[in-house]
Amino acid sequence: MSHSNTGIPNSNAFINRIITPFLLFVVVAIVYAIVAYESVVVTLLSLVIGASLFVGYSKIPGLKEIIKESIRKDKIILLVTGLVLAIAIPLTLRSQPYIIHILVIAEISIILALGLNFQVGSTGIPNLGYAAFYGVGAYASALLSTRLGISFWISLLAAGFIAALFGWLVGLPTLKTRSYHMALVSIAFGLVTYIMLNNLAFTGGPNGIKNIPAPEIFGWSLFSSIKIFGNAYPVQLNFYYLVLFITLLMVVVSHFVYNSKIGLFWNAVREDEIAAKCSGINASALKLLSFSMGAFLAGIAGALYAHYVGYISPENFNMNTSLQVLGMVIMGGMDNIFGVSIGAFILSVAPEKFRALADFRMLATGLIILLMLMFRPSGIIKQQIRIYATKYFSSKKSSNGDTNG
Amino acid sequence: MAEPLLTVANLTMKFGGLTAIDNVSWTLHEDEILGIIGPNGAGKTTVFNVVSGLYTPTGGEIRFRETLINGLPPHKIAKMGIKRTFQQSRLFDTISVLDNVLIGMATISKGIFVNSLFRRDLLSKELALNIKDGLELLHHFSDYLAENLYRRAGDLVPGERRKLEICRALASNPDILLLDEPAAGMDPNESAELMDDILKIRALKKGIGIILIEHDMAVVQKTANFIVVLSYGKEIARGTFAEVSSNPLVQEAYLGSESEYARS
Repeated sequence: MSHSNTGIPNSNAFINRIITPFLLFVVVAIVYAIVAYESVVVTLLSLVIGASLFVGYSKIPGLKEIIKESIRKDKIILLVTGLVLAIAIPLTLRSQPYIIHILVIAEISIILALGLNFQVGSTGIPNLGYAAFYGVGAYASALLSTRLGISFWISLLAAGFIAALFGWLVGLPTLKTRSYHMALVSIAFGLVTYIMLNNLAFTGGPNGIKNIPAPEIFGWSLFSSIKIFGNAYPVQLNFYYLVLFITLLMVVVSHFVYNSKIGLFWNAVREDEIAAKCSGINASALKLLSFSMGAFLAGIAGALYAHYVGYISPENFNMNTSLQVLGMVIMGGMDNIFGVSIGAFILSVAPEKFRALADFRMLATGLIILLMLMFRPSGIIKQQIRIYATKYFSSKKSSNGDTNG
Repeated sequence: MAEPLLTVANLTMKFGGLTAIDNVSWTLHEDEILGIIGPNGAGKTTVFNVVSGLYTPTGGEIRFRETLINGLPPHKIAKMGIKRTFQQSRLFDTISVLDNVLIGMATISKGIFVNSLFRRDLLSKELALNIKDGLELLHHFSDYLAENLYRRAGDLVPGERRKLEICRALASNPDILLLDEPAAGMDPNESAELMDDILKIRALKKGIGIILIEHDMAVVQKTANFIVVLSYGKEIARGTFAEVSSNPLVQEAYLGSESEYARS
């Protein structure tokens, strides 16, 4: 396969080159079919095709390497393709605003899961009260814009920072605790926040906050529908693109953090806190940073949710939400940005597809997580070994070694 | 005369009613290997835990050069240039060999928050330098490690783990290295290799002071310049290996006294 530059077209290399984009299209098509069509037959058929693809992927020996190689080589092309699909697909859903609504919620879930991944995945802090940060962000942004009339963009950032400050404060008492005890403390904080939101006067109590204004871009409200070629598109589409932009931004930030000393030192704290301290890592500061940065993302997600739905109540931020986001992180794959995003997407779309089951739809979600943990306990995409670019290895002495995937 | 690096004076560590270290004093000089030996439960590892900041001593003082360091948190002590290994090697198991060494350079990383998000250029410059140094260090101790940079530390065999732990501690060019029973569980061949490694550290890092806790007397005999013997937290002897090993108190601590045998 290394002879592909000799001028003679090498059919094997060609197939290897296109197999990954092809699989990407197939996967997107399956997801599209599942999400966009209400028919149960289509959903089941797509699930069967998807499952057989997955089995094929893990059973055919060479395929894994080929795909990995191609992801490494054609990273940019694949990313651009993915982006184009993400932008283009909702345009085909003009008559189904509800599907676009689900996609917006999925995007917000991705931001949430990425934030929790900082804590649970990277730093190894069990956090079962993550919805508290989400709620603080949502309420902060909603209160700032309804009471003080502050513009969405400022209140969005403010929500992030207020949640980060809250995360820092929550982090302080948990520094002294470990594993199960820390999980208990986080549950307590989640409950305290929920009860406070329910009982304080200025948060509107159980009624929550209504009439949260929609974001405006240069005076143009996102609650007005756009027309392309004379076709009016649902307002959800505006939000879809806004949230998509912010989600991508957060993915890039998470990627930067993961591939930096912060991400690395977080891992050290997760693996062995005492050894990390003796290596010169300020474990307490890094844990607080992890709390704050995770809370920042949750705050941003909360603000987006509040301004998108226009109405929030404490029920949105209870223990259930915390557990759901935790499920996304565990199912997607701890400490893996791509995996966590996929996990968030699946677990936010799945309950909607099981709406026919009515009261049992959370049962379906639980079943998905259970099956995942049985057959793929390390998540959809395993935690990867950090690979450093070849530019960092000036001497020729080094070799790639092998990587576990 | 070599400069004193670490001075421990009247060090005492009590846990409730138990005195783990009782009024111990010694000095480590530059370019010196100090051996701390003693039977199990003598308080050897506690000495390391106190020096590296995991415990705050209940009495006495520890000075690094001129600075008093008792009670400082471990990461600050590491930053000053005192690094350690652990009795049961504590590597970061699910991450790679290279990442373990890079974490060892934590004390020489600058502006980790700002650089991670806003100054990617500085971050990559620092990374390139760190990786170059790390590779060089690994090559000195084990070609296997240097050629398997992306292997999970948890998948290594015990001998390589020990080497990696030493490399991780040495990565930031410390002034003092504390080795806690590096030969534990090793066969004679591996111990011999370890002795070479310890002597190699001294050749590589000029002026480094090493404190070695060890049960393997062959290793101690070959490497340590000066030995302190502890028993039940108290110092019972000090001197060169020959002096210490002929000391009746030391023999008694290791083998039990004749009168005890007579009684039982």
